Amino acid sequence: MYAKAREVALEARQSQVLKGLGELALLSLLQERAHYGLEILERLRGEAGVDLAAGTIYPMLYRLEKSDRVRSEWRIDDPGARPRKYYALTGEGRRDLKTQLGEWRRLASVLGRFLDREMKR
Amino acid sequence: MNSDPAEIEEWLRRLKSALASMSSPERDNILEETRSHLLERLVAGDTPSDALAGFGSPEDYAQCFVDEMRMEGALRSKDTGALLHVVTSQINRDFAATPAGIGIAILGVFSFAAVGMLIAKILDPVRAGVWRYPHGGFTIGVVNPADATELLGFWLYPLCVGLLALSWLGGRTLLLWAVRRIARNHGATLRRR
Repeated sequence: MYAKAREVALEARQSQVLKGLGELALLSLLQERAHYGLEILERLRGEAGVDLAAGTIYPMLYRLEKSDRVRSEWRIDDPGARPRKYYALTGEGRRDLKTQLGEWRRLASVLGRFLDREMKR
Repeated sequence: MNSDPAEIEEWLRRLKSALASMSSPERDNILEETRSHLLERLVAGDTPSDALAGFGSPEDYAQCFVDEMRMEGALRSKDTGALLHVVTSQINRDFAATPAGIGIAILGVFSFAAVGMLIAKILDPVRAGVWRYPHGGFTIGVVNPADATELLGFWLYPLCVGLLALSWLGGRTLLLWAVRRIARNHGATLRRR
């Protein structure tokens, strides 16, 4: 019972931290190359520990595309395969990533120093 | 397409229906991408229920796109009707929409009062106005002027027009603020798998 409550509390805390970071991780991923939705989900989960639902990532991509930060195109990777919709970062997306990354680094640095203050005493 | 499992086909049919307010190319794009994702999950060994679990109900999933489309359209066009539609549709779902809705309602009451007074002053310029009684107290409206003094005279016209203009400007500013906040909150709302 106690372990379950702790798990729920931990999930809620992680969910709060994930707010906003999902978009940053997604933009960073698309900076490498174009990705399709399922590939984005799996890489974010496996490499960034950002465990988003499929029902979250596609509306997020839709929003980013509407704001001209990503562009999409349908591609057929192999003959006979189903088409996949690939997303790539635009110039606007690169500028936004740079801004978000700067904000994240500044916040992480300040917060890290604050949280470590007890250990230094 | 007909080889897709019935559960997924039924889910996609409900999704299509829930996306009815979107343009046909956008709707087809979303449907095709969702279908592609689901079928890849099936090929990878998921059951239809497992593959669908990450999307939630088709109606809730569709609502994310519809909300996004409306917010983006409203912010781009800055059309008052579209902005108002976003705020009213989010009034019980977003904390920025609630105070904005109350503010808009108050400004709406001021506007109706100003229009009402303007019409009254045009139709009955003698009795319509802001009246002060000899024993104290004020009345705004159409009254019997026998025992009261009218304070504004024809200044009531510019005052009402000014109130209308301020309500309009204040209302639009409030709407734009609310829709920008709603859009920002909407973007930050992530669901975990």
